Amino acid sequence: MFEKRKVGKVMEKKKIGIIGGGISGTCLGYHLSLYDNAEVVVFEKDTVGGASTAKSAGTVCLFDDSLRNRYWDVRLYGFESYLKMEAEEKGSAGFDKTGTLVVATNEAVEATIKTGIALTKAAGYTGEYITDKDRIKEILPDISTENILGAGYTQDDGFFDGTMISNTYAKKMQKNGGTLKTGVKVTEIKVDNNKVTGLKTSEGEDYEFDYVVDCTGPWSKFTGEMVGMDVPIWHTKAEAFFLSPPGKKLDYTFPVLKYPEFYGLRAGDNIFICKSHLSMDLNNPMHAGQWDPDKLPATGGTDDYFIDFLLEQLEMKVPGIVDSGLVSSWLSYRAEPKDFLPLLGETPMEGYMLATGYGGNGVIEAPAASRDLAKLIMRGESTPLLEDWAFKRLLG
Amino acid sequence: MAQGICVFAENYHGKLEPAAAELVTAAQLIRETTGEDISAVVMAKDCDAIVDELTCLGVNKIYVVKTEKDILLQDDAGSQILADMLKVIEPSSVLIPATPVGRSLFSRVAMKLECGLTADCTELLVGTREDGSYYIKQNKPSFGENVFVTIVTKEGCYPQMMTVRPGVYTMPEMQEASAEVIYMNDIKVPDSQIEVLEVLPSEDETDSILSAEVVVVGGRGAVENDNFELVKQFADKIGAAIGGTRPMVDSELIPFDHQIGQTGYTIRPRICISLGVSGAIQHTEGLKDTKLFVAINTDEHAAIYNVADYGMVADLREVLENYLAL
Amino acid sequence: MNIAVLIKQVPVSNDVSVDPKTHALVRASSEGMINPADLNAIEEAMVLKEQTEGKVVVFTMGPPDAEKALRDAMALGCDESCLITDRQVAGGDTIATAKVLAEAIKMYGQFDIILSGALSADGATGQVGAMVAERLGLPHVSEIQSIKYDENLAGKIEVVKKMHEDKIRVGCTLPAVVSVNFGSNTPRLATLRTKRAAKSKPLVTYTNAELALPADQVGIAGSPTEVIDSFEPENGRKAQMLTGSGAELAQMLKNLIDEEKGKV
Repeated sequence: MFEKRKVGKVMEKKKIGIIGGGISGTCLGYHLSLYDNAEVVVFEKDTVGGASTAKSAGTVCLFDDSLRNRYWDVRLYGFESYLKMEAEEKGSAGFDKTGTLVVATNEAVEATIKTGIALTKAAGYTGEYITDKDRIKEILPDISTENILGAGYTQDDGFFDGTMISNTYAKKMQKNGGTLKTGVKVTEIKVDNNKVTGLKTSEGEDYEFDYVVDCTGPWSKFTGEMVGMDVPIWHTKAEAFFLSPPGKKLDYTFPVLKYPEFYGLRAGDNIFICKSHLSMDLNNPMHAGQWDPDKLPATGGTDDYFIDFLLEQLEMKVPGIVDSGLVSSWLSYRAEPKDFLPLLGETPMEGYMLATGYGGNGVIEAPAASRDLAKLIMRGESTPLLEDWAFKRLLG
Repeated sequence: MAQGICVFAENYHGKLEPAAAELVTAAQLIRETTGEDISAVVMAKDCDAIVDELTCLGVNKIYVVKTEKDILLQDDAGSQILADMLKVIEPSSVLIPATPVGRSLFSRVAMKLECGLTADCTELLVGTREDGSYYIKQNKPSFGENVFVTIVTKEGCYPQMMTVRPGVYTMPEMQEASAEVIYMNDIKVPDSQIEVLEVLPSEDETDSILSAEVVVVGGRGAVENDNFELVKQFADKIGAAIGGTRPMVDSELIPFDHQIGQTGYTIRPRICISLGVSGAIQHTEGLKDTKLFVAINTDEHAAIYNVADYGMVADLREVLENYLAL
Repeated sequence: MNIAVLIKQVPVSNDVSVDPKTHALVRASSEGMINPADLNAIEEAMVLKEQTEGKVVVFTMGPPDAEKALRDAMALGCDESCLITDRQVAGGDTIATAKVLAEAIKMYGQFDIILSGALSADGATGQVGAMVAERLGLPHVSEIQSIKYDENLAGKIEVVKKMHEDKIRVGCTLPAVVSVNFGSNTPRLATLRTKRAAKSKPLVTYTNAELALPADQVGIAGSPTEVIDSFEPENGRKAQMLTGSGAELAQMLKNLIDEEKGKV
């Protein structure tokens, strides 16, 4: 018989406190919980995946304009993580496989779509660039094919449910020994000699941590203030409408529909339409600013200009649904640094980490970003993605 | 000087409404402090059974106006009679069941007497002013049930009138008949512009999930293990429409237009029983203003307990099977 | 037929808490919407308008920002609107509010029928409609399910009301005030086009300078009742957890449902 012998020294436990139980916090919590020596606690002031994550459309498309092709691996890792989650337990990622139609309105967009399709095919999925306008109309009968060059189409993707995914990650993390605290607000982050040492909560609890990670998205400015740090997050408005198509029932599967200006997807028998991420101008006060996400209503809150914008867009691009009934609307804040890329990893304060600023792409980007950030926290090893999305790029 | 607690003896088809009898209990609790008499006002075609029942509930006086037809829906005429009665009785307070009839009639009475009416109280307490006079603190829910407010009728405004939510107070104990009955024959019954044409039995209409008063909402837990058949039987038993979150729609157990959450529609049933719903916000945002919300889920941490009134950590199969056997 | 609809702008969210020190109400958001039952009243008005080729005017009393609710109502097909906004009339109870609304209706014109939603989602008193009727000396039928108008029986409407297990057909002489139950019909939806069109529909604003009600009749001064305190429910907002065997839980569930159903 062999005697079991310890090989090397027992790895030191690392204690990590995560602020925010949205897609960012739960996904990071899960990826950290995969390491034996991680002790993770996620603090959520309300409910898991209940704030801006719940307002995410959850589109993780194989090719669209949400994320540059440079970050193809990020996109694919996210997509496949959720496919696996869904395969493990049906509904746990809320996958609705409607396919995606990305419309090319100019040559630059066309080139991006074509690159995306090539990458998609290389990963073993289907994808095609269609110029036959009748075929495009077969996929989406309500579309206008005037003034478009063509459209990229795949049947293999669709949209997920960010709230379900966050809850699934939270459960998986708990199974691995991580702790979830809901209804608990972090009230103070403890700092000693420019190093984070722990935090205090609204329940009066006092925690010691080696690392505290800000996963609070639109709240990051306020979270940063607790350690005296100016986290350069702006808010852009994601305004959305639920439309009830004229005639009430669509007799086709409405795909995820992407234009540079807006996107749409099905929501039951209704259609969800939202202004797109990249159509935002950070210098336009109607589009962007720094607001208090706690004041955001659960529904409503859209501005009048959005009506004119959408009417004009739909009349031109999807005239078949322009006379839809407006069921409801909502407004969400996307957390954006000025260059529209996330803030990930170390900060000037030792032990204080960021996983924020996903800018409406949290559902797409969180898996790859969390995978890499967990490695950095647990092993001290950086990755090209972490270098790209590091806070220090904005510190000049 | 206004004196006495007066209860509106709402009745239907010649019988006293239980909600009105409950108010006698509320009046008795006020009397413990103020020592005032309790009276009841009756306005009906067939008064006898109502008066008989009231005499055994422990009220001191019963004021009656007998009408030729039932008049509770004719609020133009009915409110005039009630206002005339109150002018004679001069009570310090009037307690009214918070029912469609109660609020419709007494809104008009309040305007006639310029005395105010507090709606849907769930608790009545007696306060004492510096000069030793009493007033009623009228506690009522506001903004759904999220906050409660205390309302008082300004000093010098009489009677203090309030409607009280049915079911808040229990029925008083039956006593030996003792009340004095006063028929107010001088009060005239005015003409009404309103006429009851026909009374038909009502049928339950639960086709549309948007207008259903009682809704059962199934989540993933209702899809698993053939639970749906049980959910359906349960919904039938309590007369509920069935809604569901996306797993139920995806499994084609319910049509798309019965999906709760993620569609933009909000339903506002009075009663909602959620079965195996985890409680993602898109689902709870699609559901508002319930008066009773019970959530059954096997997961004790389910977010749905943050929005429900009552939670049961249990296998829905076990609860429903037992329910159907009741 | 000239139709008036009384609406109220209510908060989108009833997420309101009480400041533990000042006992003032703290609203999670200030976003407003048309009270849900009022949408059912507007729908009835639209059906009557289409049948009689009438005109629908929508009234509300509230802060200047309540214009949004009126525009939303006009996006649903109401033709004109009237906003009563004045600090002097603000904060009134149901009596003081009803006096203002009744006066505004009188000043605006002649109406054959005045509709409102039965109960508001925030205050839920269900009183203002009946009080307006009293003030205008009109008959009032509350909390109805449907309205029928027959041109041959001019000067009358027929409505259906539910009471206990009965469905009651009620006739009423016009003009009249009628309050419509939430869920009694399926309200139509606005579209992007009707939303835009609503921006240029007529909106009249009244203050008490026009209505000329005595200052002691309106607002807080004209209210016979006053709010003296506010507090949060003792059991907080989280669900009260019930425990027991399957049979016990089933019985508890039945009791809860029966009790709630017993209330009218």
